[in-house]
Amino acid sequence: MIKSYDYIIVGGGLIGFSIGYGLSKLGRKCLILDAHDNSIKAAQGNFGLIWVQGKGAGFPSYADWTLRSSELWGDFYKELEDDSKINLGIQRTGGIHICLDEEEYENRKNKLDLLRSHQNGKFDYQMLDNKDLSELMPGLGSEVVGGSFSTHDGHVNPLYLIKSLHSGFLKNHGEFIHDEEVRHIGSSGKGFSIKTKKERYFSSKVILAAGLGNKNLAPMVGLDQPVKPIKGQILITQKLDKHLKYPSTLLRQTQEGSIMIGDSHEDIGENIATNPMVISKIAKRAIKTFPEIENKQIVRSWAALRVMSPDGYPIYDQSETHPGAFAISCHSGVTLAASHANDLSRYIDDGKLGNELNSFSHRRFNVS
Amino acid sequence: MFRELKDEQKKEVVFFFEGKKLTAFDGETIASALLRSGEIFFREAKKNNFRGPYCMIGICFECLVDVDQMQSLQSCQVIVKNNMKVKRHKNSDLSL
Amino acid sequence: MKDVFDIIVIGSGPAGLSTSLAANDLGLKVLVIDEQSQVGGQIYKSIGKNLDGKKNFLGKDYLKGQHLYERFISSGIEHWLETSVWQITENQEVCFKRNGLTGIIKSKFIVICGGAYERAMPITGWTLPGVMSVGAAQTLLKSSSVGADDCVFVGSGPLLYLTVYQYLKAGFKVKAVLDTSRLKQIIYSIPYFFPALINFNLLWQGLRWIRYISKHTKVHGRVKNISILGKEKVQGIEITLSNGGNLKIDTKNIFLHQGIVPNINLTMATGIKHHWSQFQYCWLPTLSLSGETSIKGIYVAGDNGGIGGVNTSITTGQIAALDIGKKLNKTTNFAKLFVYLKFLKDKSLRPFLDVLFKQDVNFLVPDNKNEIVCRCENVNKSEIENSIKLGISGPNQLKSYCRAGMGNCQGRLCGLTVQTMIALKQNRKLDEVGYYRLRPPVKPITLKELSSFEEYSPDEKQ
Repeated sequence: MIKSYDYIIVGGGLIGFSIGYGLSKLGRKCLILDAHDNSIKAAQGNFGLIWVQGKGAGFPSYADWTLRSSELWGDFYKELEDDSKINLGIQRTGGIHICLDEEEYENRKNKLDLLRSHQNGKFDYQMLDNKDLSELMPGLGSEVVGGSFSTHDGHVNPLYLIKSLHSGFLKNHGEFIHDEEVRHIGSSGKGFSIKTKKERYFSSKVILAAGLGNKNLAPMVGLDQPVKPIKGQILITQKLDKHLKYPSTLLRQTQEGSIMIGDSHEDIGENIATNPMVISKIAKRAIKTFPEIENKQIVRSWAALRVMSPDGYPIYDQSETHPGAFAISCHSGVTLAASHANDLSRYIDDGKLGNELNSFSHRRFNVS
Repeated sequence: MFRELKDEQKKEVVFFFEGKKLTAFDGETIASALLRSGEIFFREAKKNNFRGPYCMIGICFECLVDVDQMQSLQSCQVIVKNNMKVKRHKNSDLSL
Repeated sequence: MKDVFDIIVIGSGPAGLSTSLAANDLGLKVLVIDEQSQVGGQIYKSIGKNLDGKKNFLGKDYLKGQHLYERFISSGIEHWLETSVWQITENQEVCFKRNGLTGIIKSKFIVICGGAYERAMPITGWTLPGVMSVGAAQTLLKSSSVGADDCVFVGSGPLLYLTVYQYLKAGFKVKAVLDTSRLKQIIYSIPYFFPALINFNLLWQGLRWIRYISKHTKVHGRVKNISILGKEKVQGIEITLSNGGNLKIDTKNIFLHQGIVPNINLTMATGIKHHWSQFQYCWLPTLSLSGETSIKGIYVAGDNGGIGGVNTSITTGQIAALDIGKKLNKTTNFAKLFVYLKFLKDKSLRPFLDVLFKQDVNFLVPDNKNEIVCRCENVNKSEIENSIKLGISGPNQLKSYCRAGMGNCQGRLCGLTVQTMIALKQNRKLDEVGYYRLRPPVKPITLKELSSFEEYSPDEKQ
């Protein structure tokens, strides 16, 4: 008897493991197939923000979906920590978006006002000038104009998040196989036959969560995932005593004490090389934001590729031509992990993505 | 306990370690001078757990010290200069 | 950015000095960069300071470096000391840190001569202050004439014997030498002995060291179950002798050695292709016969390309320089051939030594599950095993789950142990398991130093 799974999930990153965790908790027999250890993995380069503010200013369902996920995080992290006994280093008391100049500050204010009006005031935030922001962030550079603070925001250790999902997934009898890149997905009326680097696996349903890999896989199940890489580079400092009370888009302090510094965007294809000019600019901006960091050592840096759709919003799709096939991609795998492990997993298991996700289909890109 | 060979007549330099006045030879690394002075605890790896140099060639990062305004320097790579103020480096790992 | 230099040589040990001198002799414009305050690397450490005849206990081989050193100093080759290289970019530009600033410089060719370092020996108690590597003992001796009396040396390999010999000759008291070499390795090494005989002088020298050591200190062979004792610092060491008996030695200084491995942090972070050598139990940059890597224009010379010792370091440096010289039309292939023959002669000793002192995999993995493996991040053996149990794909996923390899040293001390543990627990081949993905900066830089990054031109010297 050939072994067949309820679900094969292609991709062992934040999306794959969140959904795998959710489905395995519902009692489904799941297999996650992942690439080899040295492959490019967005999930290993994540900044770790659980972020609501500013999201979905032009896309109300995304703003709602994000807020909902942020609310689910409250119970979600407790369940993961109890289950895995891993301390996720979570903090959900608020976050700051730094505005370095007047123009940025104005644009930010307008964007957030718009978001609040779309969401009937559900979205909570404050615009703060340098003086008020300094109270939330002592040591703030005098050249910083100000920023926006929202209580919905927070951060978590993104690597331990995957570890705890992985651990929970295995506890619920999920299987994880690495070094098995998927080459071809075939389907018959009875299910899917997945040909990998070394083997062939069978399942009733298949979920594509392979990040940039989804682009080539999606057409095999009658779907479209027009994603491309947007590079980001991150620096990390030596470990320090507690300095930063809240995470921000530029700096956050990890549970070990090191300060993680971002934020950059480069549209140059699948390139994860360190660009010294770019990290130098990141360093300059970090010093401007938080001057006392200037003499601290940078001990590591990395680059990762965001999985970016044409409009920057997630793509949630289920196939009509290949029933039982789903394709998911986004670049906010941490923020949305709670929804992915709960609401989304339930939708997938019911066989139908909820109405709130209709606007996330790839068909939105075909509007001419 | 480390000691230097006799017949080594070299110019001396004064520096401070945790407030204590010590001497080094001209051109000597901080690590060597500290070891010669009987110091073996260089950095605090976790609470009350101290480490000292292991490789002496800039590979292991166990010999980390803070020097004047700079933090987390490999003392086996830094030459002592007059009146340097050296302190143990603390690994502020908030999770430990 | 224009190519101001023909060659940038990174590292000024025997290979770096030899490369730059050979290139200079061909009329090429060379820049040598070294993070130390003097040239010489590790083998010829402080050679410039030790020419007054007071350091003869360091041996003839060390003093031979004097010739290379004096030629270099009088050559006028430009060299930047106390300068560390933290990245080589995709465009083969060298990113350096110097005088509190960072900069970038480009050349037609780069020769990486970053040398080697010692394998970690994570035995029980290895993180206690007072425990150092044998290379550390030798470095202190060379650079400051500093040593410790009543110390104990533990391990196996030529560097161990050389250092004990130098210690004894310098007048320091060595309490004991605990040799971990296995008898069977002597038998396995026999087939390699005859080709090695071309280097008879070196073999004879090794035997002389061993004879001298046996006369001046206590040597225990084939020891097992090594445990370093002490709570906050070293108090002693306990072993099982080859006859099964137990021995405890009081000491405050212990020096460990289990061979050396190429320093691959810069080469891997540069994206150079590497391969696993089961024979030498380490990762090696994949090189052409002339030392060129998978990236055209970047070469590796010396121990950085594979452990070979000082003579091989000198010849590989010459070969790289000659190959570059040929590409720049300054010389012919014939010159290279002659040096290559010398290289083959020097290299023939190596297989014999590699088998005789073959890395005992047992010493790479601690016996005790609570023993620290990753010193930087305080990760012990059992924490690593728990992560491996989740079915991790390799060292990179392992690193993200338990932090081993995330610290300052970027895996220099724990990398081989982690790789070995994964291979053993998951029953996989070592080369298939792979290694940490290394990235720049390969040495730390502060934010202020990085923010000063600019294109450096020698016309605008700081």
